[in-house]
Amino acid sequence: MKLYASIYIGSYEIILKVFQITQKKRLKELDCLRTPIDTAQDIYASGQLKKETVDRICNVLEDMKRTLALYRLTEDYQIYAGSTFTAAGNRLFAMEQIKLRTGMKVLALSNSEHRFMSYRAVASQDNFDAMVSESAAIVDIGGASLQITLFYHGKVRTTQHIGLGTVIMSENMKRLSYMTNHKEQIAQMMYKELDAFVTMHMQDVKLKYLIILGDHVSTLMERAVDDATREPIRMEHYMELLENMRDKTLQSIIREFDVLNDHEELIEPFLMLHHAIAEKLPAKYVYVPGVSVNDGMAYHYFAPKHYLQVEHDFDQDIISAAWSIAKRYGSYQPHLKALDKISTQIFDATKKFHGLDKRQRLLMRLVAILHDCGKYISISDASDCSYIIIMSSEILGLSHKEREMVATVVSLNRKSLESYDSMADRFSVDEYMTIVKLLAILKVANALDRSHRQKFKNIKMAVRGNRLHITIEATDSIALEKGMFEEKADFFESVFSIRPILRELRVFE
Amino acid sequence: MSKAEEFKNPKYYDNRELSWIKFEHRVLNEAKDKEIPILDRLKFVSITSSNLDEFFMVRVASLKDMEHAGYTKKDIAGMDPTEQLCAIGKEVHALVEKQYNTYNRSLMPILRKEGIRIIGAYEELNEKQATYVDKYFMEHVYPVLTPMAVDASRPFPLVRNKSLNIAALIKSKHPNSKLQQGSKQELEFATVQVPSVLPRLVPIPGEDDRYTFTLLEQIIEKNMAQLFLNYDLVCAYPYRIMRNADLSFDEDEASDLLKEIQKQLVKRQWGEVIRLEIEHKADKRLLQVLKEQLAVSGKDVYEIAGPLDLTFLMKMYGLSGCDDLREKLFVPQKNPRILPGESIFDEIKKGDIFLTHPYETFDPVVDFIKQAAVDPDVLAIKQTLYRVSGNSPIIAALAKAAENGKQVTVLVELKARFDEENNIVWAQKLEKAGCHVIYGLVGLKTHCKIALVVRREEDAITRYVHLGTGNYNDSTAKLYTDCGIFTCNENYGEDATAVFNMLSGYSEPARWNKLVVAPIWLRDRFIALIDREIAHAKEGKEAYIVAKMNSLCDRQIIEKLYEASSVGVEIYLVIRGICCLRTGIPGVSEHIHVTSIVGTFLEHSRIFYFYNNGQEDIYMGSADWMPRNLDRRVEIVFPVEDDVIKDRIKHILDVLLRDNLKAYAMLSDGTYAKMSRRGKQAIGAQMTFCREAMEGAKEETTVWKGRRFIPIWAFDEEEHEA
Repeated sequence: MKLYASIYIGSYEIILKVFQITQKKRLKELDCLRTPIDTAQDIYASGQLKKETVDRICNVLEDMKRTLALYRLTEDYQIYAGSTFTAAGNRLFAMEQIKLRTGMKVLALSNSEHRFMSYRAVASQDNFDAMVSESAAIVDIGGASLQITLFYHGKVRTTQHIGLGTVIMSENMKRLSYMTNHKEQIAQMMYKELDAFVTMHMQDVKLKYLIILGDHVSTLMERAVDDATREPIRMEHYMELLENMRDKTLQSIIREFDVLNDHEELIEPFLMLHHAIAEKLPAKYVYVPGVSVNDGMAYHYFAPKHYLQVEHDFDQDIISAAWSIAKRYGSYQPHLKALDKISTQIFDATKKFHGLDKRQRLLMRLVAILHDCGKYISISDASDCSYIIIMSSEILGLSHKEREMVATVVSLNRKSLESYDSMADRFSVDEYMTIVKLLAILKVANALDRSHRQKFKNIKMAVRGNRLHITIEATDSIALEKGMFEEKADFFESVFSIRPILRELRVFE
Repeated sequence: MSKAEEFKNPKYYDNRELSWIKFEHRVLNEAKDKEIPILDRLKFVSITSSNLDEFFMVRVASLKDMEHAGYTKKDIAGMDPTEQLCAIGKEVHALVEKQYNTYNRSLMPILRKEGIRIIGAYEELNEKQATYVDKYFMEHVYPVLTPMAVDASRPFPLVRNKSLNIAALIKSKHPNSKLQQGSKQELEFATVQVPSVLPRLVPIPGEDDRYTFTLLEQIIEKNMAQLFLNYDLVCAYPYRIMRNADLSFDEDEASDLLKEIQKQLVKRQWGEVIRLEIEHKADKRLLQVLKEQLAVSGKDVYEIAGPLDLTFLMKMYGLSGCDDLREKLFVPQKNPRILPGESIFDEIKKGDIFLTHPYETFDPVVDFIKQAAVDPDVLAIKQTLYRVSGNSPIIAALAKAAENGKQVTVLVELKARFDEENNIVWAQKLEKAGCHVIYGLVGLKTHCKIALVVRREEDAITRYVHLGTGNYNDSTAKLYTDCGIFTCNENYGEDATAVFNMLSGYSEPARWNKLVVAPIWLRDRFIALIDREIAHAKEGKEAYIVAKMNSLCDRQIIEKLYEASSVGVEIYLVIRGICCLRTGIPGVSEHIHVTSIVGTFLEHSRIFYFYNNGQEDIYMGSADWMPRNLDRRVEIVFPVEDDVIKDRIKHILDVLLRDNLKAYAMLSDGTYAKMSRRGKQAIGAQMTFCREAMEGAKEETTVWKGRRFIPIWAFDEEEHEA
């Protein structure tokens, strides 16, 4: 029997969940402790976690140890702090204090990782793949921002971050409350932001499903959309529910939906936001799965161990998101496809020499797919532009650090490599080495399709001795490729100690 | 007036205190029932006496507080506190009169005939007895007495709450002695407490009776003069006072709840005097002193025609050699599913188990904890404890479990009235053993009865849950009728885990699978369930509600029941005690039938049945339909879903409703009367259940369970023919 506990320090709550893998390789929630904390309030008030909040976190974690002990969980648990916590100026101090006082190690999630955890949980639901196979928008609503991921025909089209969140809106409302029409103003701003998303990304999309995720206050929505089966409901029904709630007073909402009134000031902005989203993303069905970061953590923990039934293919999401970015910036796709293929071939052939893993292979593919996107803005400045584009494109499933690594490899494609010292502020030595290795592969692969004309057929790779033999069949002159090749091969050799050798089998048709 | 407003009319409601007094009359009627053996009848008198004490300390005291505070809000029946106190005073006087009439005129003669004598006045002792009594006084009583006189330098002493005392007027023997010069020639007041460490009933030599007793206060009274040797005794009479004992403290300010309650316990005896009982025909001057010094008004004085404080009669119940004067004790039967020595967990796995106490023994519940304590697979035990028995085996098992390394979480309700001292002791004992003890919740009493055992089994964590209507108290489980179920259904298990997480201070779960929990969800659920019957009745479908509980006094629920009755929902209520609802009001409550069963066992289970257009929803739990249960306590009401158990509960309700032996029906004038039995077979619910339990326990080997047939190969002739 496999057990695991996830502890999540969220914007409003600390949640502990204990999970068990059932015989059918399903995840089952055994126990759940949740208790309110003021992370969000602290951050929006001062950017710092207050002493009282840190004390409370320590006390709660200390108490949660009892539950961990009950299930005899000594190793199989993790504590993640959400992106609100991570946004605190004093997060490192807080984490250190927690470690010293409770002996528990907290892992801080960046925004991307945080969103991915929620996404992971919803994507592991049974009906998810069927929903995204047509079209679906996943909206993850947080305190400071919301994130929309658009699926079209099973593929991620885009992930966008919008600066609209329940806490931010409630703060704005308080700030502007002296104005008589402050609510309309805030509503207008909200609609404008959402409009921008719709015009940019949804012109040709007829949305079938709207999937809504979010922290604590979403309990309200889960209770409102009360059906034990947790099936999607029709948009009209959903709108009716929202309308109903808007007509009610705060107190009666609290009473009727049994929400704790810890965060009652958030209810109004919460309703406004949900209403605006439903209006601007008019799907046929609305799905409120009621899963949390904790569930995502469990999937994340168990998935690599193969304890669970095969779940959604998250790598494919990342790849399709990358393709979507490449298309958006008009990259020449046949070249990208060739490059994707060649670079993975090199990667696979030289495994022994680079020692990189499956995840880094995925990064390699991203590098290949995205290496050209900056040309959309400036051909001469493509490196820097690519870097900026990648850094500002959310790719669901990729951590912030991974994204930065991909962007850095791409930006170095046409520049000379910087020394580690100049990058030490951003990357660890291991990360730097990964960047260098991916860069070396990219350069060789890119040289093989220098003309962007995919002249090679049947590329074969084999390592013999300290050489990487790349055998190609070409139908055309490959003089250009050959000329560029040696320079790239030098760099490759300096990194891996093996030299790529290009062997040509000329094919005449 | 709209229909809804109409249902609020105070004249459709009974005052809860007055309704309670009616219940006491029903209990007292048992003492008058000639069918019942004499010692049992005495027991009922004793019960009314102790009930009345509690009633004064809690209810009357709280009304007095309201009166003092100038609180004039009217109750459900439209009476303000002063009006209620007046009415209560009148009714209680009548009740007490009936109590002593019964004692003196009905019970004493029978007792006498059976060879048991209680000499209630020392003047009636014969010479031999008098000598014995005097000797007893000097040897046993005199050394522990503390007589106290009152004069200018010695203020009126503190008379302890509920203690029995003797007041006396005394006069100095030497009015002209030099030493006494200057003191006025007046009567002086003195009082002495009848020691509670000595037995109240003192056996004395009799003639050829089985037993002869006299009362301790009579022995003291007889020798009163010995206590004041320099004085002449003018008169002496026993008296007893009742003080305000309602604990009302601000929990928010108590940093440590435990300390606060301990503090309150000391304070309790200092409360205001709300009742003075004194032997009737007491000296007027003496009574006057008491009234003045204790600040008691005339209407709170009860002149008693017999021994004060009849709770001593409970002691007579256990007299040895008198089995013929007692109802034969019913021995709780084994539950056919649970065989001693077998694993309870294995049996629960086969299906939910239903228990009915006291017809079936409480042992399985104790064994549940005991087995969990030593089971190597058990990870944790969590339980709520409200009132526990002295020397509770459950406490011992929990402590043992903690010592065995199980995680034990216990919520001990310190606020269980009159049990605080007791509970603090258990709580500390458990804590010492390593249990995690929660001392109740701020502002709420934890009244729910739930126990959870978490077990790590081969392929999964399994949760075993016991849910009940009665306390985890093995002594009262022999006297109170209660129900309980064992289940390992995950839906209940998840909810049970959530309940304990909530009790540990964590947030409520996003949803409950099965349990309905007060104070948050329960009221709404009941209202919704009644509303559903209303809807069905309006659609012309059959609509029934049957509910059994201890008390019904929640205004909102009663209004809802009136509404239901007015549209034709048939409502049958079996309510042991207080019922503020009135039956038979045209257009309001014609379809409501209230019965009350007072019997050998105290009716205690709470069962709620809703017809639901044939779907039949049955709930059981710890809550009555009282505001305190629905709003100020943590209660659990749970649905019963197993079809076999549902059938059994339906049978229980059916028998209760057909009871025509012990049941009283509420009449349209608000009074209660025994059911008419004309031409019908007499049915006593408690007797029926006793008989059925005995039959059930015998049946165990022949009941076919499971799916596999078990052939009996070597059957004999007789069985074959049958």
